[in-house]
Amino acid sequence: MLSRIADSLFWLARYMERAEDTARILDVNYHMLLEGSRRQPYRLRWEPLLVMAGEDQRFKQHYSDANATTVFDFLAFGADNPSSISQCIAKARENARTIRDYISREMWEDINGLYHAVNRFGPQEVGAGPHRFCNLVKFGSHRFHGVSDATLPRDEGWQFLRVGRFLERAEMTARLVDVQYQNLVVTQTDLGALDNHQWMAVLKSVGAYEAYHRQYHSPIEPERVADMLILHALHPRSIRFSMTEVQAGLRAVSGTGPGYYANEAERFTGKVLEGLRYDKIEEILKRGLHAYLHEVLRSCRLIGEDIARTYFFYAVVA
Amino acid sequence: MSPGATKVFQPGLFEAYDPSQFYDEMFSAPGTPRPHYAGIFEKLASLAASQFEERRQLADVTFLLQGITFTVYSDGTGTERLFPFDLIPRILPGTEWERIERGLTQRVVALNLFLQDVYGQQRILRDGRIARSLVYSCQHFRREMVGVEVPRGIHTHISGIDLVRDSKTGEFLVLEDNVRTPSGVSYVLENRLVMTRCFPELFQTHEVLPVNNYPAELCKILRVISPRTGEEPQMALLTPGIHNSAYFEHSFLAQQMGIELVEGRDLVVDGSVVYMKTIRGLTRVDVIYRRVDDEFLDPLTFRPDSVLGVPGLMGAYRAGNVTLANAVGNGVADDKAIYAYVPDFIRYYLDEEPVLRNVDTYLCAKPDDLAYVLEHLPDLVVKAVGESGGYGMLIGPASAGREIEEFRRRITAEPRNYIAQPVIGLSRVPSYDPATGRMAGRHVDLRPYCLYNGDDVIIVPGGLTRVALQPGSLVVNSSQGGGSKDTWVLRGEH
Amino acid sequence: MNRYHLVHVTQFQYDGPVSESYNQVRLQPMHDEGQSCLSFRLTTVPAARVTSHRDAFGNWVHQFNILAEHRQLTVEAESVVLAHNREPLSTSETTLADLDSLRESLFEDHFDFVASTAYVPRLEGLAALQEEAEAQGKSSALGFVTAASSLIHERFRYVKGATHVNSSIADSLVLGAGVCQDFAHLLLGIVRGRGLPARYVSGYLVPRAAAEAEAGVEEVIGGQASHAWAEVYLPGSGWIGLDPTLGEPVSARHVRVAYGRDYGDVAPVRGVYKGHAGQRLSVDVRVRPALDDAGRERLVESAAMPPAPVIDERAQQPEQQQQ
Repeated sequence: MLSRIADSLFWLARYMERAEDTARILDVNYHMLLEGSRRQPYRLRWEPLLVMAGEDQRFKQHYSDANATTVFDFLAFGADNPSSISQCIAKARENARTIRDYISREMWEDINGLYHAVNRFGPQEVGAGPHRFCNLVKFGSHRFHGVSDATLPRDEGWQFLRVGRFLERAEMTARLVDVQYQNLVVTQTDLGALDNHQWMAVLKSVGAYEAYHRQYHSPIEPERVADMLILHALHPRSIRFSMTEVQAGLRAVSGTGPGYYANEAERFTGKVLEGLRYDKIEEILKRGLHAYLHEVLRSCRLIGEDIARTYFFYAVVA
Repeated sequence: MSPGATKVFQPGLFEAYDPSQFYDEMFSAPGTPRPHYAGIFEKLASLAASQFEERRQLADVTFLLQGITFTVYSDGTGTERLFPFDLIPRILPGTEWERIERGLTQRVVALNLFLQDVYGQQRILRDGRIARSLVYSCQHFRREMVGVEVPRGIHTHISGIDLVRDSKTGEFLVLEDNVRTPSGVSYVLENRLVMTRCFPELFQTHEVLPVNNYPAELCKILRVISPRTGEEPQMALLTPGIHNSAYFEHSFLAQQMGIELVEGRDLVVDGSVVYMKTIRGLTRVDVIYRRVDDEFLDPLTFRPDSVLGVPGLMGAYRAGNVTLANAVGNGVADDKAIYAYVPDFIRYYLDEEPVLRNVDTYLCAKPDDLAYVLEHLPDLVVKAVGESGGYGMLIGPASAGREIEEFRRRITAEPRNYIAQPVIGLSRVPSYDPATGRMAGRHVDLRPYCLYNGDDVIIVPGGLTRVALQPGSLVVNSSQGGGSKDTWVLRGEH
Repeated sequence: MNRYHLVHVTQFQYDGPVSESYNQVRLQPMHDEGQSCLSFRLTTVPAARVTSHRDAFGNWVHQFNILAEHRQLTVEAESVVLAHNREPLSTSETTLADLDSLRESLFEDHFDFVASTAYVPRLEGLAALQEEAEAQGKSSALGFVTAASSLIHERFRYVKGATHVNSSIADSLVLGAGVCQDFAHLLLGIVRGRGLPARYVSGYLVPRAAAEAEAGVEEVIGGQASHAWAEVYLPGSGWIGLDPTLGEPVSARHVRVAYGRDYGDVAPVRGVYKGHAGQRLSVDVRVRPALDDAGRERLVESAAMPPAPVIDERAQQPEQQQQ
C-alpha cells in the first residue's frame, strides 16, 4: 500500500473521530446547560471545552466572551479553528478524495454527502436546536465506520483507519477527563450538585451514562467516572479500550506477536497499555491524575509521530 | 409505432423547437425526427415538463453525490462545480460511426508514425514534406526525446480527436487532435451510467453499443508496454493531485483499472529505476499512465520549479526502465499548425486518402496565409497553436473590434503562434433549457477516445459529446460554460 | 598537439540537511576530429552510481542521484584531452550576398542554431553592431563573423558579476559589459541576425602558462578556466570557432565540452534536491599538461564519510503533515 494512502486513511479516521467527539461534547454541554444552575457564569462551563480542544488561545483572538453561542460557533463552524467540526469533516473528505481509487464508492459517496450536509448548516439553523447538527455529525461518523466495515477488505488500509480512529479517541478521552477533572475536582470542590451535573455531562458525552449506572449502581462520583473512562476494559470510549485497538491495528500491519514490538509506535503503545491494564484508579489519583494523563497524551503524540516515521515519511534509502 | 405517428403527440417539451439554421442532429425538418432519433423523440415528447424535471434532478443528485465535479479557479476560490449534463442523448447511426472509426484509425496510426519519425529518422523532414522549422519551433517539441526509442514504438497510446459536424455539408470534420493527456473519458462512462439510471426504458428499445470496456482496454495496453516482460507489471496513474480539474477522472480510471493512483511525491527514482513509496518500503514501478504534462514531469529535465513531477523520471524513461503513456513530446503532433499537415501524414506514411477531412486552416507562419488572415479577421476563428481548452482563441464574428485589434497585434508580433480557420456552423442537438423549461438547439462537438496498442486502434463507440449550453455559443469547453451529453452509437441504422 | 589533464571540481555546501538530490552534468569533453577525449571519470561525494546518455546535440550527459541526507556534495570530473592543432581560419569564399540567397535553406537546415532563444532574443540593439561588422567584413561572410567577434571584444568590458547566469543579451547590451557567457550570446545574436547558424560552446580555456609550461607543473586557475565561446557555420567551410572574449579565433587552448542553442542547453551542473537549506557553490578547475595516461588516475576516495542516518524531527502538533 502506498504510504500516502495509509497516511490519508489514518488522518481520515482521526478527523472523523475528532469531529464526532467534538459534536458529542458540544451536544451534551449545550443541553445540560439548559437544565443547569444559573448561579454560575457561563464561562465556567464553556471554557473547559475550549481548553480541551486545545484552542482556547485562538478562541480569545476572535471572541471576547465564551458563551453558548460563541463557543458553539467556534467549535462547530470556526473556519479559522482547524479542529472545528466543519473543518474536520472538510479535511476528512479531502483525505477521502485523495484516495477515492482506494476506498469504496459507497464510502466516498457517504462522506461526500456528510460534507455537503454539514456545509448546509449555518449558525442560524443551529440556533434553533444544535442537537440536529450534532446528531448529523455523530451518526455521520457511525455510518462512515459502518460503511467502511461493510465494504473495505480487512487489509492494512482498514488497520490504518482503525489505528487513526482509536488513537484520536484515546487522546480526546484523555483530554476530556483531564480538563473536567481539573476544572471540577481540583478548583471547585464546593459546588456539589452542579459538580454532579457536570460529571453527568462528561459521561453522557462519551455515551457512558447508562453504562456507568449499570456498573456502579451509585451516584456519580468523579473517581468512578475517571476509572471508567480511563481503565475500563470493554467500554468502547475508554482510553484502555482505545489503546488496545491501536495496538491490535499496529500489530496487524507489522505482523508482530504479543510481547514484541516492531517499531517505536508499538513499543510506546505497549508501555501505555501496560499501565492501563495493571494500574488502579486509586494509585493513579495518588500519583496525580493530570500527570498521568499528560503522560498518556505524550505517548499518543509519540505514537502518531512514529507511525508517520515508520510508514508514511520514512527516509528513502534504497 | 411509425415515426410519422409522432405528430399526433403534444409537442410538449419540444414546443416551438426550431431545427433550422444549423444541421440538427435530431430533426430533418420541424417536427420530423431523423429515423435514428424517432424512438427517443416519441418518448421525450410524451413526458410532461414535471416528469422530465424529476429525472433531471435525479441525474444532478447522482453527479453531486459521486463528486463528479471539476474545479474552477477563475473566481480565486477554486470552487467545485458540476459538469453540466444534458439528458437528451446524441445519437449516431452505426453506419455513420463506422466511417468515423475508419477515419480515426488511420489518423491515430499516422500521428504515431509521425512521432516515431520526428524523434527518430526524421524521414519526413529530409523528404521536405514538412518544414523542419515548423516542427522544431513547436512549443511542445521535446529535444530530450530525439533518439529515444519507446516500447513497441507507441507514442499515442491514448488520443482524443475532436470532431465537428459542419452544418453546411453535414460532414464530420476533424477540428483538432489531442495526443498529450486528453481528458473527459470518465464522463463518457459516468454519463452512460446516469443515463441508464434516469431513462432505463430507452435502453430496452434501442441497441446502444456499450462503452464500459474502456478501462479494461486501456489497462491491457498498459500491461503490454511494461519493460519487464515475463513479470507481473506494476502500473500506476500519475496525477497532479486533487486540485487538478480532472482529478475525478484520474481516480476513477485508476480505480476502474485497479492500478495505483500516485502523485509525484509518491514516486522516487534511484539509479534510473522508479519506485513507489509504500508502507513496506520501495516498490518498483514499470508503467506510468501519466496525466501530468511534459513540462512538469521531471524538474531535473524540464521546469525546475515543478513540484508535481518526479526528479530523474526522464532518466529512468530513457534507460527503458519505465514506460510512460502517453510518450513524452507528443505535443508536437497536436500543435495546431502541425494539424494542418495531418492529412499529408496519412498520405505520406500510409499511402491512403484521409477519410475525415480537416477544417480549412491558415498558417500565419506562411506569409500568404498571414496576409489573408489579417485581412479577414472578423470572419475567422483564430487559435494560439500551443493552447488547449478553448483558451487563447478569437471568434471573429462574435468579437468586438477591440478584441480583434488585440489579436491583430499578437498575430503580427508572433505569426508562428497562430492559425486561423473559417467559422464552422457546428451542428445542434436539442437540449433542455432550464430557463424556459423547453428544448432548444445547442451546438455540439464530439471527442472520441482512441487507444493504440501498436497493432490496432480501439475506439470507444461514440465518445464525449460536449455541448455549448449558452444560447448561440460555439464554445463547448467545460471551463467556458459547456456541458456534456451521453453519446449513443446504435447497432445498425436505428 | 597538446595534452591536458583537467580536474573540474564543483562543490555544494548546504546550510542544513538535504536529501533526494538529483543531478545532471555536462562535463565530458568532446571527442571528435578536433580533439580527443582520452579518458573521463566522474566521481561524487557522497558516492553515487552515474549513468550517461547523449542529448539531442550530441553532448554527453551524466546523471546521478543521492537519496540519503547530506550537507555537502562534491562532483569531480577528471579528463585527459588531446587538443589537435587548428588549421588557420579557412579562406571561405562565401560572400554576404550569397547568404541572402541561402537564408531560407540555412534556416530550414539549421533551425535550432538560427532561431532566437531565451538568452539570445532578436533585439533592435544588435542591428548597429551587425551593420558595423558587415562594413568591416567587406562583403565576405568570414570577414563579417570575425569582425563581429572583434567588435564584441572591443566594445564590451569584461566585468565579473556584471550579469548573472540567467541574463539574456538584453542585459549586457544595456550594461556594455558582461562575462564570456554574455559575449558568446552576443556573437550568436549578431550572426544569427544575418541568417548564419551559430552555436554556443561551453568548455575550458587552458591558460597560456599551462599550455606551454614544462610537463608536471600543476596550475590552479579557478573558475576562470570554465569558458564559453561560439561556433558559426559558414556555407562551404563548415563550423568555425570564435572567441569574442579574447577577440580571437579558437586555438588549441580551447577544450570543447558541449554545444547548444545557448547556455540553457549546456549548463555544466543542474540539480534539484529536497530540503529547506540554502546552498553555496564553489567551482574549481585545475588544468595541467598531462605527462602520460598512466599514473595520473589519481582518484578521490569516494568512501569519504557515509552520512550518519539522521532522524528527521517533524511538526509536533497532531495535525496532518503537508508534504
